[in-house]
Amino acid sequence: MIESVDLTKRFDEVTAVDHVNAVIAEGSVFGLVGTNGAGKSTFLRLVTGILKPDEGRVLIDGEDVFTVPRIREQFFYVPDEQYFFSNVTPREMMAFFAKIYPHFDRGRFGRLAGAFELPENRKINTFSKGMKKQLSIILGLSAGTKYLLCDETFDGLDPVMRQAVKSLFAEDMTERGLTPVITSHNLRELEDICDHVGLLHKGGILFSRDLDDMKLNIHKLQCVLKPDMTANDLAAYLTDPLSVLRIEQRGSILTLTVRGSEYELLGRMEQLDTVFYEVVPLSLEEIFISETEVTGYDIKKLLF
Amino acid sequence: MTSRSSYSDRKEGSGASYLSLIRENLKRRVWSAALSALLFFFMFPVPMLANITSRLNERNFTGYADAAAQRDLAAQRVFEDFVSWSGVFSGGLSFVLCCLAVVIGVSAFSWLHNQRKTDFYHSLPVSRTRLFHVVNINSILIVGIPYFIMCLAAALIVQANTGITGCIVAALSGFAGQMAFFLLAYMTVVLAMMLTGSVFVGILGTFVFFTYGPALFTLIHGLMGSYFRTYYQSVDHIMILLQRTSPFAWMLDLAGGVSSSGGIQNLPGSGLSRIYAGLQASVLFRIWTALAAAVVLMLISLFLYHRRRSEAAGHAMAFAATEAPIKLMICIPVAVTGAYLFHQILDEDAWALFGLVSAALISCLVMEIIFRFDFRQALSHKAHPVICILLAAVFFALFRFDFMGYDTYLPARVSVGSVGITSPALDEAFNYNRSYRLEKNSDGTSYVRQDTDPDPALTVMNRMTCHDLDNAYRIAEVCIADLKKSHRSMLFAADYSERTPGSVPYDAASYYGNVCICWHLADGRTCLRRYNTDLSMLRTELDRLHDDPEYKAGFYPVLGMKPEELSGANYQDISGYEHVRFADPENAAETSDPSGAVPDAAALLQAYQAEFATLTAETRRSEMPVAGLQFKSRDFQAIADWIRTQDGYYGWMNDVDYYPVYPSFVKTIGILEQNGIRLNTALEPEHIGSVVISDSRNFPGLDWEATEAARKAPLVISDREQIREVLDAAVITSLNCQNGMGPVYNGLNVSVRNRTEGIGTDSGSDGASGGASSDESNDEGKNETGNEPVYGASFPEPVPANGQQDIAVAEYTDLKSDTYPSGSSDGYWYDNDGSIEYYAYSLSLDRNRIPAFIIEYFGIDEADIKANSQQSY
Repeated sequence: MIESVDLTKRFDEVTAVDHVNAVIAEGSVFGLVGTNGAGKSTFLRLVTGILKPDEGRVLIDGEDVFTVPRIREQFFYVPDEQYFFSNVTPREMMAFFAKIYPHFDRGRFGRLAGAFELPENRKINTFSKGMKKQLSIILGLSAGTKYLLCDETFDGLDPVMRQAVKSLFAEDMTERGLTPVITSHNLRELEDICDHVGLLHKGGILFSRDLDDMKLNIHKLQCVLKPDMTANDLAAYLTDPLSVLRIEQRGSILTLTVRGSEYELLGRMEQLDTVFYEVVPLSLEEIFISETEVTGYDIKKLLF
Repeated sequence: MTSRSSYSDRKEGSGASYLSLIRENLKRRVWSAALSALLFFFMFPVPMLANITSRLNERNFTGYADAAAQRDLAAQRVFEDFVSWSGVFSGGLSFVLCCLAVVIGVSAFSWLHNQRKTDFYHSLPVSRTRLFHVVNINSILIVGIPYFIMCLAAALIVQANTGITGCIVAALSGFAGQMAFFLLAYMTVVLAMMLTGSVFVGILGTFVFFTYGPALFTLIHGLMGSYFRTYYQSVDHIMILLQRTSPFAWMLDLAGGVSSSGGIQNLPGSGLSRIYAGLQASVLFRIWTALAAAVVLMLISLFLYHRRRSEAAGHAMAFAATEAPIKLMICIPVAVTGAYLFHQILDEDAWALFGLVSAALISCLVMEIIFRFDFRQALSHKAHPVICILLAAVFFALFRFDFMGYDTYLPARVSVGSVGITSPALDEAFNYNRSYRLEKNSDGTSYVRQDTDPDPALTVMNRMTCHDLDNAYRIAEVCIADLKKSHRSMLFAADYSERTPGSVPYDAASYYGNVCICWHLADGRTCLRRYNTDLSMLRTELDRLHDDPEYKAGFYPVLGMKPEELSGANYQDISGYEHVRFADPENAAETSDPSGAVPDAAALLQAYQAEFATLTAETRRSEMPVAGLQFKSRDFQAIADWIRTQDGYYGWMNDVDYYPVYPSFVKTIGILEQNGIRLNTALEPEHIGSVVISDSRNFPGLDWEATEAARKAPLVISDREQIREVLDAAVITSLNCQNGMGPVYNGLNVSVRNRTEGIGTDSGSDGASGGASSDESNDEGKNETGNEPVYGASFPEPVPANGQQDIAVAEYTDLKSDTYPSGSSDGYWYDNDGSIEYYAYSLSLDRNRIPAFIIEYFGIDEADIKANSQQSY
């Protein structure tokens, strides 16, 4: 488990990470979203022990990552722009990491490099940006670490590669309990892979939730009411334990975002005499819009 | 529990061993290893082979010695060249290693100045301590291994070609010493890299570390020399320490210390003994000090590395808190330098202020631009230039206006143990303590190398331990009081200049000169001051100093000479140099004292020491030396003998280290006479044909042409009585031991023209060749080896007078220069046809005893005597 406690980092007058408390559980995919400059990379660099926190600390499996270097054997950091030694080949980089990470799987590296069609003996400086990204992911997956910390990893990968990487993550999660931590400024990229999402804004986490919990507890209700009933009447009806987060009306069609169980919502709507109603699932974007509006933010200005 | 699972190892991190990390790091730095190997290949095997090819080539041998001897000498030279080049005192090697330290140090930690690379390394499960050590170990290996291999190869090559053993020992000792200095320089570079966040600034930081101390030393030294009127141009321990704060200066200082004394070739002994001499205690101390300093720098760097934040990469300075102090530390001396240069060039305080402000502003702006990497931010931290200007102004004013009271400082009496005082007014012969060494030229001929003391006065003062502190304080107080009188003019008058003889208007009542005082403090430190003042104010004090036996013991080494150290003595009188041929009891019959009870060299030394030690300043004011005595130590004589056997030149040895014999030294003169030496027989009236007195007076206020017109025609004297009168008043001023306080009248030159008979003592010999070990009976001009003395036959042959017409005083014949016989460069005067006419000796007159007829002829008055007499305090 990775835990950040009151994690704070300042660069001169700028507070890049501001008292962030977060828990990244093992066996799940943690997605960290936020705009450029939100502090995602800084948070990840703090988690890796590259940066020393000004306040708070990062614990990986209970050990402070900055003061106990050996705990870094538990993760592999894939930065946005991976550094490779000058004039080396993938095989040479692999040899280096194999000496650093005790569980590095050379065989797997060879297989993955073959699968991704990366020439092992070609100079890395002749690779394209996407190839370098693939190489760093392959190295990370082959390192055999418990955590894989990826900073904007899916940028620069084509859709096919993105899917392939997601499959590999899923495979490693299943086989050896890998916990990927992925940062991105694109919510849609994380939608189909993340189990848990944290939203970082201006150095602070707005919220951090399980995606399933969010999806199960928030619903979009579309309905057409009879003339004797208004939207406010409906909102007043859908309370306790339900709560209406958002109301939108287009013509006669009323769209409500409602928090609560689908069963409860459907039960209530059964008892109401309406012209038409249906409950449809929300996209991750819609969930975020709803959640952040509640906390007073306009998510559209933060993401997308 | 395995070590791997132990807590400390767990904290250190990484399953990767040091060895594998070193190997991986080395892969990244192959280029520097290749550079190092290439460099050392061309520094050791190649030049050694070239040297062997050149020196051992028989075509290059000269015909002065046989081929085998020359080959041995050449082999020895090859060996010495190798030791010189590879030894711990090799300046060239030190310089190369210093440059290599910069290249290796900068490249080793350049990744710290790149964010991507820093993130990469710091995300690895390797502790910073381990990473730091791995990089440093590799740096040492990258330089050390090629250096060791190439140096060893060169040593084997030299040993194989010369047959001289010891090359490997020399190589190893040099390797150990030079690597210690390399470590010091390298760790300095590492420290600079740790403090900075970009390679460019890191290199600048290295430059600052390498030059800051010596530059500050030079600046302070210059300020003190320019603005402190009593500053003695010497350096104390603090300044030396400042000078050595740079590893570069530290390395070159050691090399320079040896090379200034002639390099490895001039270390005593030969072969291996020279190497060991090179590794004498002081050198070993320096090596250990360098190693200790390197370790301290390493620990500081490691500490800084742990404190350093990864985000420092890309910034100018890794620690923001260091920016302001470093800026001020650099800008203040720069501003002071600006003030100093402008003041030195234009001699105006206003210009000094301009220089100070300009340099402060420019340097602060440049530093700010470097720190921010942004020209537009040059004016951020506007307070810094103001602080810099203020502090620099205070710093400069401390020297310029002596606010510290340096010139008027006197150490507390309780803190003074003893004192050393010198003044050229008492004696200028500081070089009694020369040292000599034998050396060989490349063609096998020999010469003697003299070690010249760069500051003999300081050596004398350091040696001197006078305990008459009352007198010393009185001297200093009078000087300081005089200084205070002129203090205002010193501060605010641009045209102030030191008052030294010749720099002030003529005043017969004053005598400007300097007196140097070295206070030996009880805690072992010394305090040096040099006062320029009117020494006539200090007549009583200087006389008391002169008569102090402790002063003489410190100034004149002869007073500390032991009879057992003595090999022999030479004397010098008007005729030249000669041995004192001490009578041996076994052949006493040949001497003037057939009884055999003739005082020997030891007796002469003791008699001289007794009389010289009690010589008073008053006596020196009334007498001039009639002869000089050279007491030859056994070492000195051994060198002279050795040179002679090698057909080398040793005539110069007749010229050095003579001590004056005054007429009042009756015991000394008596012992000389007992050994058959009558001084200055050439000046006995019966040997004099004539005396020519020529006018060389200066007339204050007259220009050159008026002076020439005012001078009288030469006076030629042949009257016996008048000649006797002149000789009675004549003093010798051509000895190698002059009395600067003597009563010499320089307005007239007395040229004594020698007649034929009875001049001088023995001839065909020289001073240096004789001694206790020499055969004294060299009547045929041969020494004990049977060789003809080649040089130094300084005694002139008696020259018969050839009927030179005596000119009566009454005639006052006006002899113009064109009537003189031609040629006089060697003391002989020749006729127009080239034949020798007579031998002339040049004398001066005692100002207190100028004969009346001379006073009358030349019209000498009291003012004239004052103006043309030898000045003394």
